[in-house]
Amino acid sequence: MKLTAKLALIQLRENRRRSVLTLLGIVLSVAMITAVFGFVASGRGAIYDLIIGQGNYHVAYEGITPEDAEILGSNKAFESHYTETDEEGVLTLFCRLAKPTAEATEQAAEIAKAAKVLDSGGIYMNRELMMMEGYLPDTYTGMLVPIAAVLFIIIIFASVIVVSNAFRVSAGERTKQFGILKSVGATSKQIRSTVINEGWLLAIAGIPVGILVGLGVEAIGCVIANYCLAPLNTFGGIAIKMSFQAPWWVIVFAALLAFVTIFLSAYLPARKAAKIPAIDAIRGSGEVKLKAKKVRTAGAVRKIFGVEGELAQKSMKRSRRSYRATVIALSSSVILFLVGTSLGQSVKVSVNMIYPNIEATAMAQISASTSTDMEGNIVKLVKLTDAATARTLTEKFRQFDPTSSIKMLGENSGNSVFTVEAKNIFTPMSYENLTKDDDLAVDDYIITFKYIILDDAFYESVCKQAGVQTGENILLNQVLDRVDGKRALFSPCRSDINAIEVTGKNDDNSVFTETVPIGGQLTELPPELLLLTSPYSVCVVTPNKSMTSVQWLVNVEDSAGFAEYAQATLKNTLKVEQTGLYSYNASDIKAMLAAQNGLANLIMIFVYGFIAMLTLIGLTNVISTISTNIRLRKREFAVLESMGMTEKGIKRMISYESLICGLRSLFFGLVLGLAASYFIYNRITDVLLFPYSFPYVPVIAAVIVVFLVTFITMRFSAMRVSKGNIIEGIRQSE
Amino acid sequence: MNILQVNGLSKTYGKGGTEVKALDNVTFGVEKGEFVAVVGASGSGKSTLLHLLGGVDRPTSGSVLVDGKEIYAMNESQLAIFRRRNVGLIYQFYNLIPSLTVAENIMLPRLLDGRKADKAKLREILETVGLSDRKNHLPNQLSGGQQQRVSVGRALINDPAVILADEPTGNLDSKASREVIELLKASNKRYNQTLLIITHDEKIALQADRIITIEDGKIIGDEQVKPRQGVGE
Ligand SMILES: Nc1ncnc2c1ncn2[C@@H]1O[C@H](COP(=O)(O)OP(=O)(O)OP(=O)(O)O)[C@@H](O)[C@H]1O
Ligand SMILES: [Mg+2]
Repeated sequence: MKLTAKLALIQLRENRRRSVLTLLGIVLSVAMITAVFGFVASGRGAIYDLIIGQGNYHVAYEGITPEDAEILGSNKAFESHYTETDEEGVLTLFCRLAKPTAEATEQAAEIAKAAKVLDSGGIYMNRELMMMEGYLPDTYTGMLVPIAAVLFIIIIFASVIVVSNAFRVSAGERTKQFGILKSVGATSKQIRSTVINEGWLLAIAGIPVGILVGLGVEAIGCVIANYCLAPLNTFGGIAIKMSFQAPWWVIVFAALLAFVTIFLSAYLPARKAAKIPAIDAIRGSGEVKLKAKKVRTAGAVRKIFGVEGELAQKSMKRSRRSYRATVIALSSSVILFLVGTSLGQSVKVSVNMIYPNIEATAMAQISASTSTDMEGNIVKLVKLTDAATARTLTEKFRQFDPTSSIKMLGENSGNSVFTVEAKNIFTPMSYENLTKDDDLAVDDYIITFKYIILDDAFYESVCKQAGVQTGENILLNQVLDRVDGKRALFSPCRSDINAIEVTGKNDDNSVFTETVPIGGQLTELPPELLLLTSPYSVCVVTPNKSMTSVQWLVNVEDSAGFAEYAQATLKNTLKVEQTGLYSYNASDIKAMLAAQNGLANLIMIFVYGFIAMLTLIGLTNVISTISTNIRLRKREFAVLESMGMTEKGIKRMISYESLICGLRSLFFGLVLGLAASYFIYNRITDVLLFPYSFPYVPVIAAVIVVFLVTFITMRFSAMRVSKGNIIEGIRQSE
Repeated sequence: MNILQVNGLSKTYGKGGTEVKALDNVTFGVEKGEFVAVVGASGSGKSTLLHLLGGVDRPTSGSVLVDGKEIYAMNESQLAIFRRRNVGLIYQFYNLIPSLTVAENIMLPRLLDGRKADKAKLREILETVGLSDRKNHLPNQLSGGQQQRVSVGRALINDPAVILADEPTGNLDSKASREVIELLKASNKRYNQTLLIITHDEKIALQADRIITIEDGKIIGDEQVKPRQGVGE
């Protein structure tokens, strides 16, 4: 073996404990990177499979003749094609582009034009697939980029810190060793070679293990993910399945990052030793501050911690470097923990917001919309559901299970739309809120108007709540919106409204106005009605009116059976063909929620798994740093003991050091961690609105854990070090 | 009564083939106020003996009595308190605390004993060891001899009953060496302290009341050089 390789091996063997902790750090960091990125790759693969499963095509030509399909399909621009005919006999040609570009839509249209086919019908792009395959900018991922970037930075940060800190804590000791090597004639090149050999040995031992552990974690993650996704598959009739993937780039990336970190961290002390005279390196002049500046001791420190506290304070002030590693380890763990938990919290809140829990297990709905041209003129009329039909349907739905509770919510928003002048109805403040973001500071700001029609029992309860007679109209005066960045409930309308002027369009596009008398207001809405109101519209509950759309929220035990029954009932009762403008359907909310919960669980498991990994890495880092630091001071402890410091005194000294380390780390950790968590909150709330909540629980947990871990680790290592023979303690670290 | 009494003291390192008997069944006593020089070849077991006397090592067998008390029967904290009050240990390799200044290092045993820093005493010691202008320096800014003098100062600050010095002049020139020995001797006289010095320097050994010679862990010579001062013989 070459001398330098031998020296490296000796270094590692001599500092076995340190080597083991460094290895553990390398394994953890590589494992985390492999697991996280591998899992992401598997997830992406699952989504790709899902999209491909719905059709492996880029372009679809709908309503094409069989002859044209033949001609177009064999066009050189396509690499593959297939056709499908739907129930109504419409033929669609599906093609994969051979060379898709970012302007694939134009590309597809030009191909069709050049082939002189398809005068009618439509061209549809499979944008999802093209995004997944990287031909189109990925808008979905784009939305997640800030979060992904934060995650990425956290992971890199954590892995670099954990590896480099393991070296940093012993940098002084290593510099000294390199100084000795240098003084006996080792050239800088030989020292460098020792370091590189050491790095190689650590990398060879740590990286493969890390990759294996990471892949193991990923595999477990995939199993859990599939378990969570199962309800989604049964409900949606889709087949999303995470299959374990280990792309080479993940492994290469993890290995490379670990490599670079190991070499840089091992190299820095060597470079320092190379730069300064050998004797300075041996004496460790750099470790203890050259200027023995006066250290003032606060009276309180002396009172509580005695001379030992004073000694600790001096040694901490004068050899900052040896504490830096501990402080970095602790504060970065706090940062990681806070960022992790607030990420988790944000995700949890978002998940709950995307999937609100409605108190219904099933629903049925009919919706119709008017088709209008560019000028807003009615082209095709809306098909209204009259009150009698709605009532019949409610009765029929109830027949399925008489114990079920059913709420009907109908809406009539007019042929095209009903409008009202906001100024007459809104309070000055909410009017200002409404208009302030609009550049067109028009005087007569117009908003939409909706009639709300409820089933009889619901209507009566609303009347009662509003304190009006049955038969009157009731203004719904409460909305949920963001006010000053916070989600809040407020009442936008004035409280003294007796009537509302509504403008609408007749079937022949002529305009009419009608006055809607208001009998009373409701400023505290039941949750079902809160779903209907918005800050940009005015809603008035009215009895007995036809509806443009209507939904039934049903609380029934057998939700799946009801969905089926309701679908058939709708079809038999309405006896109308469904079109793009008119549709009805019934669905099983319970199953849908189960599927959504599965998805939410999956996200939470991922987030908590991530937090657990970060915490584990942080703890390893802290424990390794503190115990190494203490071990390096073995001689100092032994000397203090031989001067007559008692075990109690050493405990007191350690307590004080723990306190200071803890406080300093918490200061940096909390400040930076809270800043980072607020940043994450901000990025997420670009998409969803919810208030920032100060992470009290994580902060308190961090404070307790920091002190506990510092204290226990320090004391434990110190006790181990100070146990036994003083003279051996002095000797060993020579 | 002997202030120091050593009975059948042995210290063995290692086991089996690599066993080293650093100290082999040593018995002797030292009277209060005596000045003893310990001499012997390198590796003969002098430092081992000194460490055992100072209560910083543990013997394999045998006992050490200081002032009639068996020190290895004490528990850890009793031993620690014993050390800081009764023993001034000067190590062959100084063993200063790197993060403390010269003055703070010297003051350490006194502070550890919960006593007030004695400015006058500190000044006196600094002056005698010749480090007044270095009192705010850190150990790694000092020469070997200077560090040695700090460790001498540290051993004297508490006026211990016993001073154990392991080659306290090993790194000093003859003048400095003479000064340190004078200092130790003066302290020995003034406070009737017991002084035990390991040395390779014959001139120093000859100044002692008594010379103990060690070889391979055994005492092979114990001669009274001159009658004990202050004790009429
Ligand atoms: N920790 C140890 N492990 C094994 N052997 C040891 C240990 N400490 C000392 N020895 C051995 O014990 C013997 C006595 O050592 P000691 O340090 O007492 O010698 P010394 O007389 O002080 O020598 P010197 O004059 O060179 O300082 C030596 O042979 C040494 O090798
Ligand atoms: Mg010796």
